[in-house]
Amino acid sequence: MLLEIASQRRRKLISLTPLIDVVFILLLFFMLSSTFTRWHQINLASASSSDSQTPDLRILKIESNQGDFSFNGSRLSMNDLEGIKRFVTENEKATFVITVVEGIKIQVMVDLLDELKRAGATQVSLAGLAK
Amino acid sequence: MILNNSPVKRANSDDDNLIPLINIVFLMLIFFIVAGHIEMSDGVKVESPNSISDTELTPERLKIVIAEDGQLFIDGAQIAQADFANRLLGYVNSLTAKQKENAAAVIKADGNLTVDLMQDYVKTIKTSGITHISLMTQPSEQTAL
Repeated sequence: MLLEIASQRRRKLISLTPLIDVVFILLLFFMLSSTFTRWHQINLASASSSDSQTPDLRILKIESNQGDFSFNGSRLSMNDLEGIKRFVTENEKATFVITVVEGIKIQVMVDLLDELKRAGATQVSLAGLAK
Repeated sequence: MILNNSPVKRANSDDDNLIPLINIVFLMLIFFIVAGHIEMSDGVKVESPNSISDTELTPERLKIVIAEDGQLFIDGAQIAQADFANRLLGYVNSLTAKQKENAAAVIKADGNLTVDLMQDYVKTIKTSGITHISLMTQPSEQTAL
């Protein structure tokens, strides 16, 4: 009688090829479904933004999708970095409020917000349509 | 002379060459699991506005997607404009009293959408009782000037 003890012990638990298949499928799944974008946000409205002191407001109005905006009748352009810098340093402590006319794209509004922040403005808020 | 073409060597070269391959595949697998994160699909392609904003996204929030043509999507499903207010009320009512105080909504709007259109939706969200509303942005490709 032949006892096959030796061959029983030597048998592999799992052969490599199916293992690789599964690992490849997992890899493919994670490669295709994972995203690497780091999302950020801009606050539009929050309940806790009411300060006790009335802020010093500078209301800007975006007038075209090319980035022209006006403040108190004077016209400025978003592409005029020097002009924005001067404008922000003149009104250092003020809160800038961005309003828009109808038909302005969200991207243009966000761009102006970014430009003001780059120029050193700390308090900028988005107010939507100009009244 | 003994020619050493025994089957032992061939059996070795079968599987042993595969192990470094598996190592690398495992490493890539671990990289993608750790570095990436899986997101629910929006249901529509949206180009979020680029911004230098570095405020992190609120972790617990309702995500409202507004496509370029003004269509609304929540949880990957399209919502009719007439149902929007009801859908928001349903969300607010599903929260506990404590969560309601910090109820947050994030708008993922296309950058080419007009502000007036988005503002109408913001008003609807505000009336539903959600107080924290923010606009989702992605880091801008252009470097800081």
